Amino acid sequence: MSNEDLPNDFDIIILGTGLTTTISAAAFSRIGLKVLHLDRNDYYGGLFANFNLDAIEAWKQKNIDLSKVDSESHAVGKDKDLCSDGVTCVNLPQETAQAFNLSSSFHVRERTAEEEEAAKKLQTPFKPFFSLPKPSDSDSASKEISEEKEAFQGSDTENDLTPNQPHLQNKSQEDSSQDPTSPEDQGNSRTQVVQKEKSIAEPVKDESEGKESEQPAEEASALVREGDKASNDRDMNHFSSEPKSKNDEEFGEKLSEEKKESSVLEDNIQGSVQEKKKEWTAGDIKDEWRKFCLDLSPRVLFCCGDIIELLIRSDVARYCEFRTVSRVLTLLKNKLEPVPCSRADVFGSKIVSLIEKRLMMKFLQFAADFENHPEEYEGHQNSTFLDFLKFKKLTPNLQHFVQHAIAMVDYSSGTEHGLQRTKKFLQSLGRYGNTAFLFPLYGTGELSQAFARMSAVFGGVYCLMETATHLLADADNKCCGIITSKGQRINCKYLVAESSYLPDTYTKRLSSGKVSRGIYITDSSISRSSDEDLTLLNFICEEDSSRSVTVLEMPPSACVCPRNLFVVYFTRVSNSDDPERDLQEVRERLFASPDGASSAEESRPNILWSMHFTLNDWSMVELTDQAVENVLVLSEGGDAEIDLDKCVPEAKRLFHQVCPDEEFLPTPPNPEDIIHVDDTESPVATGSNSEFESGQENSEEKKGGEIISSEATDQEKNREENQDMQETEGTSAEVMCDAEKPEEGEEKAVKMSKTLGQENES
Amino acid sequence: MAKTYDYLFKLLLIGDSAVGKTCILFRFSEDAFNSTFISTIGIDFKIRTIELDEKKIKLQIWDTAGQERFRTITTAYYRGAMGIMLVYDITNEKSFDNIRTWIRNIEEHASKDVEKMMLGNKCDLQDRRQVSKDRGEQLAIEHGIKFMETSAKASINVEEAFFTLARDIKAKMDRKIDSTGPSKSAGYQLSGKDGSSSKKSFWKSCTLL
Repeated sequence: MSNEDLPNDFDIIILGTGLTTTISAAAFSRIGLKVLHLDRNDYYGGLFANFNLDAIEAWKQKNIDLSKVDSESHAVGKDKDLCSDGVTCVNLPQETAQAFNLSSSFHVRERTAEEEEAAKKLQTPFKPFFSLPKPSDSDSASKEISEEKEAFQGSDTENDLTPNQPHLQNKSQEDSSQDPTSPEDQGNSRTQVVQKEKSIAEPVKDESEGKESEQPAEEASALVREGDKASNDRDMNHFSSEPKSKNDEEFGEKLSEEKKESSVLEDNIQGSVQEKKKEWTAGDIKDEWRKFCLDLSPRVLFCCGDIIELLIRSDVARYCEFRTVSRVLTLLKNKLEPVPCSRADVFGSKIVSLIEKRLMMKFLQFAADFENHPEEYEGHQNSTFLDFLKFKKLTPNLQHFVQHAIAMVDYSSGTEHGLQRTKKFLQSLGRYGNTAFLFPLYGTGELSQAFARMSAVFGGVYCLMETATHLLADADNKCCGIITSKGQRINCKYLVAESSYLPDTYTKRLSSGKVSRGIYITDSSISRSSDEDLTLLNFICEEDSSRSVTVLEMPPSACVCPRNLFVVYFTRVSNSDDPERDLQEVRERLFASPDGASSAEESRPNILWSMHFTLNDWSMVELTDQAVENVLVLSEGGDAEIDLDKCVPEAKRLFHQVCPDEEFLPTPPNPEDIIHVDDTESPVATGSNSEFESGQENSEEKKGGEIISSEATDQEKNREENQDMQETEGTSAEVMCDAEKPEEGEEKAVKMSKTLGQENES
Repeated sequence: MAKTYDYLFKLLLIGDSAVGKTCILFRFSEDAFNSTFISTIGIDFKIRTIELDEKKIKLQIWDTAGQERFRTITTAYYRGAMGIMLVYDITNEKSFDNIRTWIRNIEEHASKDVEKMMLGNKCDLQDRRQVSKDRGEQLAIEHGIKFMETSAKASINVEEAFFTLARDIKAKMDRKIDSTGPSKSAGYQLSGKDGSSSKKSFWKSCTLL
């Protein structure tokens, strides 16, 4: 078991399980190299880890403790030792703190003694089949909310211009299993929905978890859950048995609905009806600790970004589910407004005038294809993006939208940079959902675990809470192995490590700066709408507009928190050691003040729990010439980027450094096509039993199951399809094609996923 | 394309290394057994479609990919699992003791209402037995889960075990349907409509710039 020794020989040893490292681990394992992957922590992900509430508090404490140790004494012992057999032994650094200036606290009262009693009675932790652990008060409260919500929704939909919106909205809110073809009576459907809320007193996570079950066999496109999919799928019976094709249909249906929604959004915001909020106590939140998935590095994924392409191509996507970031907001004239980013949005938007609409459309069309129209921005290469927008005669409104919400660049950004960012955003539009981004259900931390599984499936050996204390270099100054923290010597040809696992003298940090991050648990959305929106907001601070704050708000349907709560992340490039202060302005602007709300603030969410910390930006590192050969370094993140697209090229580059002629994470064979050969015809003699037992331990023997590519044609097709798609992406990224190109890529994606679906069906 | 099943269940196999998880998986999915070593390399999961109450149930059974060996199963592995087979080896006391640890793991990471079942594998090796059937039953009762002794090699109870688990999951789902009132989704589950046409038109209409 866990006391067992690791095998002694590997091709590659990898230290640290951050996203970039696990991607490369998967790539190495995939082509048959023997990979040992260690992490000093007892969790996956490094700086990309995600935690439940208890675990993140433990992580905080550990980092506080580590930072104290840091300052006291660091240098212990010699740097190098000579081993008996002529091998040099290099000391590797001890664990140091990952984050600094950590603080966390509850902003709500503890339970009273009576409440504690009541909660205890109702709680039956970990008893299967009888899981209704919600305290009665929260139950009734949620009922109340749901009823009010319904009422709110009803009044809202009456104002709506689109005729079939009400029915669709109700459906998506509560139960997509309602027959969408039967136009149902409003009142009736409302009561049904409330009933449902009552009977499903189950934790959201459980419900949505089950939903994943259908995913692996599903088409790649279907693993992208449209906006409120998770909340739709509350019924276990529904999601598990729902035929896939119907699902797709619904998927499309709801997406188009989502499009309309953006125009409705404004009404919602303006007419924001006061909901009665449940009063949460610290105990209520603590009881739900398991249901939080809090990311150290929350990121969104550009729908056409490298990471999405990689997830699809490598089939790692089957281990995750996604939902769309359903709205992008911006703060305009002191109000949170939805950003019109697509053509439909621009046309439907009420906050831009008719003339502005034309200007905006024209500009976006140009930006989507700007490289082919150099004459349009000639002479502006050296001016700022904002000046260029002014030159293009965009109104202040539009300048704001394009600069802050679409390109998300600061005032000092140059024209070309701004245009590139705008283009990237535009390219990712319309692929999944109505914004350009996806978010992995259960948090960004799932991605590194998914790649780790892919590596393990192809033979990678994983060991957490174990690291290398020493690196071994042979006479040619080449890395030839490590000594583990348990004292075992393991040989390898290459050592790949995150920078914090290597001696300071080996690595040079190219990125600089720090990032302030805030994580908040709140009781409502920063901008209420009828749906559970996953929101992205680029917030410009008045106090220092050069450093904007990325705000990500997660609803329960993102599977990161229990029902009726929200998780909000703030990320800002930092210039101080006080993350709490750094994020103060945006916190005060978006949330209710802790000391009793004034009337204007009442509709704002209350912070129930918060955590602040500072990360050092280790997103760009390189090796110094002091490093032993065959040691490679990967960055561990910690930067303020909103997406993950830096990770893929880095992992790919590293992979090709070691294996220049191999394919990077090609599509694996379908598990259903791997045919096991029965050995009953050639029975092994009496020793078979012991062999059977020890056999599993022995990673040398990999012959039992043969991969027979009987369905090679299918897979070939699949692969071609993938390549096709890559090419499409490639060209559209580099050469820049006509405006229709993303659509073509889109159809490819659908086609490809269909192929996948067929394979799974057969 | 028409649907070839009515339900899809995601099942997990969990237990110590070398208790025969992969063998059970292969016995069930392909009715095969390899006494040397069945490689889990390249295998995420196996699929077998069974029939219960005239419903086709597609069982998608996930293997640990060897990540149980050093207790490094990802939390992501547990997501969405509807049933879990806890497996120990009746000739290995330790693997039986570790069942408790695995149950704790499941409680922390898996969905709360996941259906569990415990299997004592290698029951063909009576002469090397270390864990009596009684003790297995006791532990199962303690945790309120079902229990069977199996042999992947001799093909004892493997079918029965998966059918039992699948039946329990299905029963739970049906109960849920009942308790949530008349299920409107019931009609939907069975229809295998081809969504491609609407999907296509959707993509078109949704691509904006």
